[in-house]
Amino acid sequence: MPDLTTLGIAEAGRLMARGELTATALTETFLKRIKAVDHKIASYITVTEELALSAARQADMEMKGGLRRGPMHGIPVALKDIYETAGIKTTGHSHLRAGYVPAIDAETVRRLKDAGAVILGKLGTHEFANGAMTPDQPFPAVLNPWNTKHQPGGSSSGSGAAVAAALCMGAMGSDTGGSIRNPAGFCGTAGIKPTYGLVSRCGIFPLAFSLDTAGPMAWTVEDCALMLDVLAGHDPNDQASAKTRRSTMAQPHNARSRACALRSRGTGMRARMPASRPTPSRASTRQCAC
Amino acid sequence: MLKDLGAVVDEVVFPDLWDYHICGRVIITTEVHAIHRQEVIETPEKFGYTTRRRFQLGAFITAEQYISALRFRRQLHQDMKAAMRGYDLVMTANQWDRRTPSRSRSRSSTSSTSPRSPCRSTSPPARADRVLRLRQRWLSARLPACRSRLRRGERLCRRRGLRTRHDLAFAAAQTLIRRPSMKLTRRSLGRSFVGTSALAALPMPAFAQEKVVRFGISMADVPLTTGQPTAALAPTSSPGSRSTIR
Repeated sequence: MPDLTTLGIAEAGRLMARGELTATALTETFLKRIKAVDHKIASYITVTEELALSAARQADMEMKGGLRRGPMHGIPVALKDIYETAGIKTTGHSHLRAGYVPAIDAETVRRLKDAGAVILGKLGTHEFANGAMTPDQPFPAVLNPWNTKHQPGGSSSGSGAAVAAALCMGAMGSDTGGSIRNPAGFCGTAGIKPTYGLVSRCGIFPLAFSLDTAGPMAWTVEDCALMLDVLAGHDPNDQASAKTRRSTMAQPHNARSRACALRSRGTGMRARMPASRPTPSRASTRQCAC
Repeated sequence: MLKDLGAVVDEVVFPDLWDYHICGRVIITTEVHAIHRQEVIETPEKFGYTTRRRFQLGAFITAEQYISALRFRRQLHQDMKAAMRGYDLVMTANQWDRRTPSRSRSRSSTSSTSPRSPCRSTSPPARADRVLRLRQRWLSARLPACRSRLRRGERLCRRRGLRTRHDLAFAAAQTLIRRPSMKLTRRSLGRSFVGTSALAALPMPAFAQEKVVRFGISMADVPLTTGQPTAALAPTSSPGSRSTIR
């Protein structure tokens, strides 16, 4: 079996469904890697090791008992530190919220947990996701894992860097003016800025109500689609949430059905990097970065 | 490369990326100020340097400008939909300028880069025509004439250098002493500050430079800044004046 940190969400889910991989082993691998590597890029603000291991053990017990919640079951993910998490410090990368511990989870976090995802911790960002990083903020600036002399984009800088450095399988970002698209581009990962209203923003520190969106970042588009499939849906607590039935809304984002549709039509387009820039792999990321 | 792979590739002209940038900044700055207004006023020192400056700027966007930006966003949205109609995939430049290396040790933001417009890839006549029409539309939408004031502000700053906001407060006090009957309203300040004679006499503070560069708002707004030293202005302000805006 390859290095577990190089697996994608879809592949790891398939392995866990076949019983060839446990969520606990996967989570422990990522936690070890975070300890070994994260100090070089400072992508994590808080690592919730015990909670993650506990959630992973519970996922293993459920899967062993025949309960399979979906493709995100047992998958280690991390959250940008503007997502409120019950009992876990949520700082927004700001002195103003340095000691803030929310009582309840954000709607997106709740959906991820309901789908069986394992929360590894909270990721660095720009202060209140405003897109500007200065050294007078309470936590160090996140560095680009491809080259630590470069910035990773923002404001979901920790999400992009952690995914690129294989410190989590997927991460949640937020996009108001490019905060998912920029770090995804800077760090060479995939990210989806969802349509406004597709994903609930309830429990996420707001930046601009009429532009804020929450979305996934992962190593492949398929992984992002799997996360978005879990996240999408109407939330009555978010006034901008689209009142569309979840089934119809989530359908286009179903990764497998989309892939099947492409195959069945026999059309599609494959893109590749120019020959002068070899296509990076997760393993090469790890070598060049950390 | 896409053509080699069998795709049919056409060139599509989008609205200028700068229009999106400015429209978005007006909306974001206004809304973020509304959200963090109390903290910006009471504990500004707890924000990071750039965050504080960005969040404070929202105090100077008027309701009219905000609504105009929302209406302009709707127009940009329709233009984008029209440009994408009939295509499965549209690729566009969304790249910030060349200063990508991290400058986290410096005092300024690491994101103080400028957007690179996709219109640069179009032919010069098409681009000029497009920009002309967009500027016309921009003015008709009653948004701040960002482009022209941007250039004016840049020229001004280059000529005068950067000063502190206290310099401006002092100059404002001098102006008011010379014209004691003048009410301290945004409009009157605008006349006195943007007028050519006053403009020549006043220094250009760094804070005003940022506002002019970003939003094209006149220097008249500067004395009303949150946290601005108001001691010199207080004696002449009337109870109903807009100097009390906080």
